Amino acid sequence: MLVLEGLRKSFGGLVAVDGVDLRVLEGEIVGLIGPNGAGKTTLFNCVTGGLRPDAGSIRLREEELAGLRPHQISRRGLARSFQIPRTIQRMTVLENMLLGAEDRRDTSLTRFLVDSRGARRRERRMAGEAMGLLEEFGLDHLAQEFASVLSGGQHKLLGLAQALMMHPSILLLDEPAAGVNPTLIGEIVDRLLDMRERGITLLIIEHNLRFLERIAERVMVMAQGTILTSGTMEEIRQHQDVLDAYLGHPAVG
Amino acid sequence: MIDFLVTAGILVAFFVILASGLNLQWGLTGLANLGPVGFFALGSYVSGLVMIPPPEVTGFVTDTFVISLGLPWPVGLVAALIVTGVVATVIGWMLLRTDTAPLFVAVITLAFAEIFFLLIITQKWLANGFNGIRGIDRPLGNLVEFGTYERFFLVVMVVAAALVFWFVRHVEASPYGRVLKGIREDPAAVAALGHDVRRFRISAFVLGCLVLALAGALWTPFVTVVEPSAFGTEQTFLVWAVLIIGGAGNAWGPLVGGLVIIGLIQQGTRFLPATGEIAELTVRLRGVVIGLLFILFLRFRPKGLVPERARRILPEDP
Ligand SMILES: Nc1ncnc2c1ncn2[C@@H]1O[C@H](COP(=O)(O)OP(=O)(O)OP(=O)(O)O)[C@@H](O)[C@H]1O
Ligand SMILES: [Mg+2]
Repeated sequence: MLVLEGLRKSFGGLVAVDGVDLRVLEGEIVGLIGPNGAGKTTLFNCVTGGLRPDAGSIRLREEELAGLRPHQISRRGLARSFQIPRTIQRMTVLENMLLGAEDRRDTSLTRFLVDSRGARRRERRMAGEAMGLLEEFGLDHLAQEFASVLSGGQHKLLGLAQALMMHPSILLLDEPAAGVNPTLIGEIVDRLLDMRERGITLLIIEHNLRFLERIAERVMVMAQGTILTSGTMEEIRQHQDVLDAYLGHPAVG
Repeated sequence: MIDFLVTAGILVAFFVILASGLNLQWGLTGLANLGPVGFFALGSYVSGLVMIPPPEVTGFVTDTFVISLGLPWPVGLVAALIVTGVVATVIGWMLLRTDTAPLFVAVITLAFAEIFFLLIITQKWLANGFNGIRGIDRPLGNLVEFGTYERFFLVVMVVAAALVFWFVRHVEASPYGRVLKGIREDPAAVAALGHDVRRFRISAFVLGCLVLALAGALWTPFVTVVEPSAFGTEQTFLVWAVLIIGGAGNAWGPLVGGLVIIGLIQQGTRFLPATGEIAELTVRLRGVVIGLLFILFLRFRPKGLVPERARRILPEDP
């Protein structure tokens, strides 16, 4: 599904991603762990087009993504969530959802001016779909509120729901469980398992290993810009490199 | 009294149009255009040059123009929109990327207005330098009686302002406007949701410039002259004051701002029962008052008199 080869990205002298090869199969849930500053977010930013990689290739179902711009990549079915949620504050929760759903045709101003009734109808239809998702995520009662009223955890949930509005085939999640209370984490796990049922492939950055244990079939360990190893969570736990990489890291506990 | 109201009405409508143009750029998209007066001037000059007859005809034989076509007003208007559209597209295309810093937009637009102004006053061959363009025929001047022409002008301006208001209302309430508002806050997040931020930014910038140029192309023929002195930085300041005090990000803001700042403070103060030196002083103080209000609003009520409101969408039952 998603294949990276020799991906490299440096900031000045600092090599944040140093020749990463990885492969995510269709329908898999893959975890990506590693200490702070390992280059995980930078890797995501390269894949989603926010950063231009210095070298290497990124292929989504055989199609090269390196060099494409972010909106072109997300239109090819690759959506993401952000480590720090990036919902639009001065906009309602429902409108944030629509922002994820609307394509180029819906957002054309000329089309709207010519046929605003039709556009409104489509908007209401999508809003109906959005309400269904918000209900699943327990956010429906906040649909008409400005997103600025949401709590940190609710922002994370909205980020996930918003990404789903894009009908992605693969979803890259950057620390979906960080800063979320334990009950809500259970909620997120259920949502992610639902997504797999719908056939969405997931690549998840996460420090919370207990969380990954519950969903990831395979985990990759990244440190200092490279992938150290990969395997099931049990295999990973045995691995000396990982213990070294995480030495003193509280999440391993 | 009536004459005064007519003049005030024309100015209010005029600033409502200008501030609405800036609202598309700053209010909705977060593009800080610090040179609105430049695009207003561009619209004025292009329409003026298209409409002005050759100097032999106007009688000002020493005037020089790069073109002087003597064509009717609608042609001047369309030409102004086309030229401004091209200029704004080129500036937007070079300037606006997904990650362009707001300060950069501010500096470049400010520079554009300054360069345009300098070009006009130093290059006399272009549009007659300091003396400007004079002797344009008023549109429908032979049909509308001279004494009522101002009122006719008022009607034209009010209709134009109403159309612009209608347009901004639609932009604001459309999915297109939703993307603009998203870009205003977080361009990278909107790009990750599948929207071509660069394209939206350029189109909003161009639309705003077109509205600014429209104001210029309406103004020129009705006052029959285009003078560089009309395009000072203080105009840019007034447009910003109208938008910010009225309320950016919604179509009502420029309307209310125009009525309050231009109608009430700038024009209404002419009614103060004052004569002589006091009257002189109030005239001088108007700018100061508007400036102070601007600062106070920025500090204590940045959302303006009419704050932007959440848009409620009624979802269809799935
Ligand atoms: N835009 C940038 N400019 C310069 N350096 C950067 C930039 N983004 C990241 N870095 C650096 O690259 C390295 C990797 O950062 P990255 O955010 O990818 O780490 P991470 O694995 O996501 O860490 P965390 O678990 O803390 O989120 C860090 O040393 C960071 O300081
Ligand atoms: Mg990170």
